[in-house]
Amino acid sequence: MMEKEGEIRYWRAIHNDVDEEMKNLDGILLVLHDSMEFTQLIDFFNKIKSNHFTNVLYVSLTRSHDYMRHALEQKPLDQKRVFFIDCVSGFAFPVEENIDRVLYHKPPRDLHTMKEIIHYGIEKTNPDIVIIDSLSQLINFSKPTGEELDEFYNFLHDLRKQEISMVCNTFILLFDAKMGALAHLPSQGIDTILKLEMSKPTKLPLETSFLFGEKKALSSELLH
Amino acid sequence: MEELNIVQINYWKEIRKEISITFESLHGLILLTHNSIEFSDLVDFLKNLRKNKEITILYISLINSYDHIKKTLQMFPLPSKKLFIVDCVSGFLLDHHDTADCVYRSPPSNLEEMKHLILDNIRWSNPNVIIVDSISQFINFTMPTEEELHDFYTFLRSVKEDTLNITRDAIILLYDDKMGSMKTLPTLFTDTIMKLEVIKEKPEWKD
Repeated sequence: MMEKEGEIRYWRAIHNDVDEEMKNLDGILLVLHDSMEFTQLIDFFNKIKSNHFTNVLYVSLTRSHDYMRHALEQKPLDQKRVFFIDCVSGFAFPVEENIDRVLYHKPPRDLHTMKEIIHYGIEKTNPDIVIIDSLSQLINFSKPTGEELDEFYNFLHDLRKQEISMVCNTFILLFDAKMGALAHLPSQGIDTILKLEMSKPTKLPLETSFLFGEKKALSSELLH
Repeated sequence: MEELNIVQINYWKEIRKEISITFESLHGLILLTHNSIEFSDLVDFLKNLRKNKEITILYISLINSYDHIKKTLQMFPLPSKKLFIVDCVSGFLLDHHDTADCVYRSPPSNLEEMKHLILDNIRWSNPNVIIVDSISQFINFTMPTEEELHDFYTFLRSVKEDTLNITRDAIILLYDDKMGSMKTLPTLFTDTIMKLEVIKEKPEWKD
């Protein structure tokens, strides 16, 4: 009998139980997406722990606070108060504007610095959820070197040992997977891996009554 | 600022940690999408299905010939599974004669013909699980038309009603998403949608 080469990954579409899964989420999550816009990610954030109020620390390496604030005015987050660490505008020395929900920082050069920023943010804001947007700035899973992976696993280990607590129990590591097939998906240190794919809302065909065996109005209706 | 386009997000969960539970509860109509897997990769999937239980599988192949399937199974055996094949690949090439575990048929040209092919062949094989490899010939979920969706949902509904019962409790439809990621996820009538990714490239470093 031959041994198979390569890695097989199984994914399950969780459209039926996504709300339930997201409500009870905790631990360290890796969330892969295809360059989703912030406004599209808001739908996902809204599902997380949606049954109670939470404080969120959002460490942004890809979008400025100014941009996200405008996006949230258009599409607000429910039941969440967000504190930002903006690592994008840090070099531009923005005026603080007396906004107490944002801190500016230089972009981290490696995961060790990232960890320090997270630690600082947690001490300042005491969040329930920490979102890192995004990890793809610091590691590329398409072709990671052994050294990069070692550093990544140390980062995960330290997050779990030093930062996860009864209050701050959910870390969401966003990863833009547009860079190519992920030759390596971390199997240790991550509690859940999710993949978010954008699609068109599924439409029923115009004639729908035959599907259900009853006379329904002919309409094109959304399933979700 | 980007426009607030109406999009739907499909959520996929990696199930390495819950693979046994997932496979145990895999019943009904299952859509299995994949990135152009080979038959040997499908064998890996089937090994997990009803693990260590003696089951009969009807495999309707529009992709792999019986000859190729036999050779693959010699290298990657599938213990505790009895496989019956409907080979819709080799029928045109040579004059083949049906055997005890394989029949040769012309490939169906639409989903209605596919349904009849399934119904005709469950009579002689009496399977517990039916696999159709694949439905990519009949629908493209990257940009399906309403007519295609209409035909597809009609197919799903009737095939589910006409084939499944207490002992024959799963039908698995394979779909190769090489034509593009699925912009429409057919959630109607499907009980489970799974994605199987085979990464051939060896990472430089492993856990």
